[in-house]
Amino acid sequence: MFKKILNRKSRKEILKDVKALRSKVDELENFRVLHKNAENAIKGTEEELAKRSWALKKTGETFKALYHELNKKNQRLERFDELKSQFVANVSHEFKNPLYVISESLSVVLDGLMGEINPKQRKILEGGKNNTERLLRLVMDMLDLSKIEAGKMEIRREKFDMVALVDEILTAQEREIAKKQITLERNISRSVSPIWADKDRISEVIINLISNAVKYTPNNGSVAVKLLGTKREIRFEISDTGEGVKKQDFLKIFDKFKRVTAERQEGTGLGLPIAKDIVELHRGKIWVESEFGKGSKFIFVLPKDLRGGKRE
Amino acid sequence: MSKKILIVEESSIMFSVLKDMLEKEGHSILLSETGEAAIEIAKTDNPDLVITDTSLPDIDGFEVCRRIKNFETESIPKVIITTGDVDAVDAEKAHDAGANDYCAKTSDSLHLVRAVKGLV
Repeated sequence: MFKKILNRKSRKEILKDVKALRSKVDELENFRVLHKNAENAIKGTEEELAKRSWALKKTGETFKALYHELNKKNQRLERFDELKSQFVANVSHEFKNPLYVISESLSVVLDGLMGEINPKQRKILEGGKNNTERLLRLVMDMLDLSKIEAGKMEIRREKFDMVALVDEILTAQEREIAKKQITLERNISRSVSPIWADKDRISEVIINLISNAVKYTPNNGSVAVKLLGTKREIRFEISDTGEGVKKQDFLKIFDKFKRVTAERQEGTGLGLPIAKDIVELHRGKIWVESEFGKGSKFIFVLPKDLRGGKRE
Repeated sequence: MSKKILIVEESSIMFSVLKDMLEKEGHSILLSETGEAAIEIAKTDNPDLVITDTSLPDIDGFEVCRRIKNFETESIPKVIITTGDVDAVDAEKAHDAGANDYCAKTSDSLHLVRAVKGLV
């Protein structure tokens, strides 16, 4: 058989076949190497993937653990904050009654109910009474704030006449206004209908804004009070010719954690933050407009009726 | 079962927290405050497990792990790398260093104890 082939194929042809076979073998060898390389590459990628997924899993676990840690710390901080607020509230509360008693006792003596007092005695007692009242205001501010913080400030809605309330408060401030020879401009729309709101709280806001305006307005300056009502809202504005508020402080003055005019202000500096909380509890809005050096204007807007959209 | 565990930790507070928890599990505890010393202790005392922080005063925890894993002894300790930061790259580094586990340091250390249970 071999002979047959030899017969059929010349030596030259056989050599050609051998060569072709060799190149096939080479080709196969190349394929083998390529295949091996590909296999290694896949293995490498698989290892890399396994490593990555391990790392991802571990990172996920660490995130989870650290998240729990943060959460725990946060809860502890919240608890501490609560305790602090509770402490402030308790202390303020304990201060309130004795201060009332001191203030009232001084009034009784000052009013001459305990007999005549001489001018020297009067002066000393008046100093005592003024300071006691200042302390009382501070304590009341702290109490208000801790109530707001604890979410315990309640809005007791009643129907009342804003025009009369503003008049009443302005009358109470008349002495101070006259003392500084401040010109008071009243622009109170008599047609403002009664609103449903917490009279005591709103009165607190207005007293705060008016007394601030009077306090910061220099002698012979002017203060303008404006009250107007639309169908749904009531708008109160008070402008003064005091120093004004810098633009960067427009929000800060309403923030209980930031005091802008610390040195000049007597009091807690909590008046405006409390006013803001009260207005916002009524679903209203309060803000300031001012050009520094020219005075400022405080505005608040209240919905006339916040009884869940019900109309009177 | 009681195991010998080496803790590599610079903070003495963290160390005592870990020590208490692991001793409660019945393990005996060794301490090293530096990386180099840890490698020596690992060589001589032959612990079953090494728990190392990533940041140490001399070499880092990854290096400690790498060198322990290259011991030419029969029983190479298992290694857990712990960290106060979270970084995916760190977990990969821990893997490259041959660590058996990688976990965050937290105040309760519960998951670390769990990791220890999973290994020894």
